[in-house]
Amino acid sequence: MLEKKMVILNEEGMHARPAGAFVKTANEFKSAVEIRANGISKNGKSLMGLMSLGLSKDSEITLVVTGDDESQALDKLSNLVQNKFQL
Amino acid sequence: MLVGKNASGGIAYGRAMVIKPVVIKIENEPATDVDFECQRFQHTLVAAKADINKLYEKVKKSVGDEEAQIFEAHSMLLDDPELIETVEGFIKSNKWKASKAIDEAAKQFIILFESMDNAYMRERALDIKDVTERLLRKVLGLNFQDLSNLEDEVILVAHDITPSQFASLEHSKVLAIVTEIGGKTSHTAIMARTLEIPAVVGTKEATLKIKNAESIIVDGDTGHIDIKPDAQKIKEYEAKRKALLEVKAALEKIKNVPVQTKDGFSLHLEANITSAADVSSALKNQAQGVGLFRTEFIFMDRSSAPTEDEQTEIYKTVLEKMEGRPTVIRTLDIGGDKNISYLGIPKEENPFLGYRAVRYCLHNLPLFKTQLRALLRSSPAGKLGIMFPMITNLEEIIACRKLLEECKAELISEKKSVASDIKIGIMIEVPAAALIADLLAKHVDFFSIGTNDLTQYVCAVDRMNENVHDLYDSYHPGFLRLTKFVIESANKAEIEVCMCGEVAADPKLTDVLVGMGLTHFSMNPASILKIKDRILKTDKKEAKLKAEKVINLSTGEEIRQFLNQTY
Repeated sequence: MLEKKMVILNEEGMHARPAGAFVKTANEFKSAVEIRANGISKNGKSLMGLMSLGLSKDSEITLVVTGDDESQALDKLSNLVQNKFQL
Repeated sequence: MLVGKNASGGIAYGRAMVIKPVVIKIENEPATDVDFECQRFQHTLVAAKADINKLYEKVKKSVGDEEAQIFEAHSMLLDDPELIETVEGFIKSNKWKASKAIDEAAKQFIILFESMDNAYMRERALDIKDVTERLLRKVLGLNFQDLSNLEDEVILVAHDITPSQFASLEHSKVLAIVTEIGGKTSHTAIMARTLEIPAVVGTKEATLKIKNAESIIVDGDTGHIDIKPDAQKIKEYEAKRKALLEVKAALEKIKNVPVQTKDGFSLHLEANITSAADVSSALKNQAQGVGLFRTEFIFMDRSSAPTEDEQTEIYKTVLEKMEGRPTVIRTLDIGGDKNISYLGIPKEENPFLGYRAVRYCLHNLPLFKTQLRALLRSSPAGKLGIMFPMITNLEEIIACRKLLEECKAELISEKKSVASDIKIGIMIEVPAAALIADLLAKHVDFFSIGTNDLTQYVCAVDRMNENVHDLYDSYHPGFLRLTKFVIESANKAEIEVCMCGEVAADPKLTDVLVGMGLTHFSMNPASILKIKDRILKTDKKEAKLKAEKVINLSTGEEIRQFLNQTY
């Protein structure tokens, strides 16, 4: 299991487009992906889950990735968050 | 008689088919076989997905890509692990039947999204409702009222028609549409216009006042609905329909004729659009270009500004769809009567005289530069013109051009390609700018006369103020003289001059404007053929004399009468 603390940088927060980009990327990997924020944990492969976290700019999140390809998955997903969800 | 909003033009007379909402009865008794309920749910997901994919393909083919995207989003929701896990969790731990589990999960998500503090997220609740209702009907074996196999032609009357329902309709059997809710920009209205089905929306109590199988007349131009019309009304309807068809047939004939006056002067008829989806109707009406793409609509109905990538994608799509025809995109024209909450423009005493368009953009550089960069990035996809609105003085033009150059240099250093033949133009809508058109013409590639604002500023009239709105008059000789000066200044400097306000689509002024020397007209796509018809009947030499006469009449009323006589 790998964890990484991050901050949402894009102006619009976790809207459909960024959430969609995240879900699409998360689904490229076998590992389970979780996003934790404000004490709630959501499945990182779920659009509704991510959007329902209501994350806005500067929200702090923790990415939790567990599985065979966890290091590649964490790399790619954290890059995505860092790049303001630009695929 | 009922009155609603005229959402899509045309007139229809026929039998009403009133669609009553079906009550969904949830199975509240406990599940006897939990595994069976889970399987039921899984089957439902597969079946619903197949339906949605079919709708997606159908809408993509019959309406357009943009309209089809909503079903892509619906399909994604059906794949959502959060939704699936919640429903299965309810079935397993609460021993609920599938329908109860779906219903409860739906409620939970809908409440969650509805309570979010931004409008965009709240609207997503509607998508969840549409999708979960489909699941519920499927799992309970309730049929959707099948609208895809209508035997006779009908006028649909419903509380609302969801995008799913609209998409499944057999469009050729639908004479008209009447709904109780919705506005002119709702999905239903947009699809109806694209398919040229008359529609009246926002007609409160339509499903109560109109009985099934009753005959009604729906007038999509006025928004009026006649229930059980008498012989006289039917006669009026027939006359109106005949006239509409005749006009349509006459215009259809001139569709492929080149746009030129009787004495052979070529002119350009272009379209005003607000989204990539409007391009198809522009091209259908033979627009030779886009004279005005209003980008503010891309910024509306959302909680933050569209990103550079999002904007680039939209502008690129429009340019690609226009296939090399000139396409003028206007930078954000916000403020005045068009407010966008997240931009934080303070409420003003005189918004039309206030902080709007380039005045706002030049003070909010990150927002402005994002748009300019997106425009430049999209430019290789077609023939782009960039237009700045609300220009008051030369300094603003210089500032806008400087910013544009900065953005261009940035993009080139980022190794992004930018077209070399982008035209730069300005809106002429502020009187002070109009009066120095000869000076400004040296600094731009084209002018576009925004007649709605120019009229209101020249006449010093707030159009929304009922006490003075009679003074708002595009036939005022003052307005027409100023217009003539702008056109002549552009012609003298040999730059293009376009008109993109309502005046451009006024058939009574077409020959006068041609006579003044106007070469480009831009208007809503539906008016193009009407104006083309006028141009084909115009002789430029005669028009010049007529224009001269018109601007020497002393009052708007005299001009109106003269134009009516010579029309």
